Amino acid sequence: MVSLAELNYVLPAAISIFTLAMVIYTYRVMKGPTVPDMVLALDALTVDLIVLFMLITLYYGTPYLAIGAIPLSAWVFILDIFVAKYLLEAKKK
Amino acid sequence: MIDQILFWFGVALLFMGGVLDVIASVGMNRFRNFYLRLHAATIGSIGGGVYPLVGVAILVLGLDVPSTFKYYITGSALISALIVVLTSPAGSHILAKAAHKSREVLPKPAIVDRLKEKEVNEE
Amino acid sequence: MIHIPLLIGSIGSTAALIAAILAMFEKDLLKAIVLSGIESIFTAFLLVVLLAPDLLIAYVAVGLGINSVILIYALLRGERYEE
Repeated sequence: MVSLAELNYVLPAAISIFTLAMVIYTYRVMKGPTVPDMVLALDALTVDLIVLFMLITLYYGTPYLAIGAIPLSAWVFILDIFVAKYLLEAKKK
Repeated sequence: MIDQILFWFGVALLFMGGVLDVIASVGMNRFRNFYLRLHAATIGSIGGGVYPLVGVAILVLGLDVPSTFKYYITGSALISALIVVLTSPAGSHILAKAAHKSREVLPKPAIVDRLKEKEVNEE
Repeated sequence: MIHIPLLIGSIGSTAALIAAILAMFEKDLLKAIVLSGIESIFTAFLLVVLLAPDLLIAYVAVGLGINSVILIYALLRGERYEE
């Protein structure tokens, strides 16, 4: 069995890599010239944050934090659908 | 022995996903057009999201912790990975279709655009 | 020793503040809705760092789902660009 203390050598490096990716995605989300760019980058940013949730759960060592990843991954899809619906409906008018 | 193999296999998947995620985030800033950024978004969601989640699910199985901890995190990570696999390509596709059809983003360096001709003929 | 989740939480809350300020001064209202969605996601992330995952479920569903859907439906009846 691998002890839980051995995880502490791995986790800070992984958390720092994903935080770096989060910061670069955030720059594109806020800058994005058009609306589809922002929504596309927001999807990738949310998937990145789900992985960070899991790593923070392992860092704290409490399993009940992990339940937050499921609703977040399910709800971000709705923004795609409604922005696409708005773009199609507004053109028709 | 099998615990060591599971643990280090999960760590390898986790770091491979991290490297792919950083590559995708840099590509999201370097590409010049919305239709080019779709490639980077695919790498960012599948390579940078699903691989690390499966890696975390495998990594926890080799740890020396109570079994409630293990199976709770494994189940949550696998369900999240399944939802991301199902919804992310559908979201990218519907967004690209809406952006092209509503002329919100024009494919700038384009020689011929058959989809636009087809849409004009249909109207 | 630095407490790593609080460090990441401070970065996320700074991003949420910047997104909220940008949403206030945005002329394109559809962009402002997407920016408020970003603010909602980073605040939900801060809730996980502060060990409150039960609030996260309600916050994501309201801030990202219901809020955006109702505002986009309202925007379909009006003008997209602000004067």
